[in-house]
Amino acid sequence: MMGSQLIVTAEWVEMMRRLVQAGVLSVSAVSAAVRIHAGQVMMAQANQDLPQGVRDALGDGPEVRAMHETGKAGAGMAEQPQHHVLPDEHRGWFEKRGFTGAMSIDQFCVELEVAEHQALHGGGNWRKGRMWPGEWNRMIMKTLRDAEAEAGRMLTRNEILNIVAEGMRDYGIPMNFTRWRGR
Amino acid sequence: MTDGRAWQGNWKARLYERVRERGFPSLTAFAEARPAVPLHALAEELGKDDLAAVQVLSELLAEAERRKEVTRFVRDVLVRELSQSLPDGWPAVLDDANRFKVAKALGRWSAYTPETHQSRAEQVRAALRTAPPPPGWRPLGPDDELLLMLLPDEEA
Repeated sequence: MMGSQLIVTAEWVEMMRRLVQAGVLSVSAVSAAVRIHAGQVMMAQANQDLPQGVRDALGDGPEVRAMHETGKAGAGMAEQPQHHVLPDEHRGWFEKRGFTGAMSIDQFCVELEVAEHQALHGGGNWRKGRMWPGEWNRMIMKTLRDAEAEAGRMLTRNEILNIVAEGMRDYGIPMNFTRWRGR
Repeated sequence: MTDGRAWQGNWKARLYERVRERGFPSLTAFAEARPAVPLHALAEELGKDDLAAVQVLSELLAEAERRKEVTRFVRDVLVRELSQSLPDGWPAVLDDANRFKVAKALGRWSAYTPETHQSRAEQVRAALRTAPPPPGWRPLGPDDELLLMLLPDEEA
């Protein structure tokens, strides 16, 4: 899957509640994905995609398929979410190219505010995202894969970082790498 | 490099305000007055700290769609990517370093090409591999003769 990570917002949770009330979704379908504890929203299983029922209700766009993972920040509370610049769902691809150990993709995370993060993913408008491949993870993987196809060989770790750095500049992402703190 | 401020506030309003301040009726007109200038340099000129290259890119595409000149836009982006990676033109010798520069330019261009033009872009890349341009080839705008041959307008 070439999707992104979407921060699940308080608004999103509200929408889930409304959909349940409207009978569009069953409680079990939502609770499979979301657990509400004392105002905090946690995905039941980090890194797991939403169940089919939720995806159907939201529209089956790439961002919706990729929706997973949230924490306090996703629920509108103060904590800057971390984001893998080298997409986590392609960890194996990067490992083959030397991103292991002290140079693993976990070393290349950035902290983004929710608004910025959503803007990078098409402002929450997946229809636009589908028409325009501007969403970060998809863009950077396409750039890297097509560059490899052109080079006729695997890119080196430094070449990948060179391309990623230019991509970050183009996207207005400050190059303040932090280490992944884990979920 | 922006300070992470590019996505704060209404960036579209900001972008067009800067374009108008500089006396241009459209972002396309602003960009056309700066042929073969990399996208990040266009963004820096409009807003060094608060506008990003992909914002310029997406608005150039939006304007091109309205004008039905998307193919021209796709050529224009390729010109800017080539200029960024290969400022001295197409390399005479494809050693490892130069091969990477070409690969980076074409990989970035491919990722910045809208879905509607993906298959045509792939054909262009295949054509460039099969018959590389002459050493020193440095297209200066979307009306470059070789580019027009590789990716002619079809909207007209």
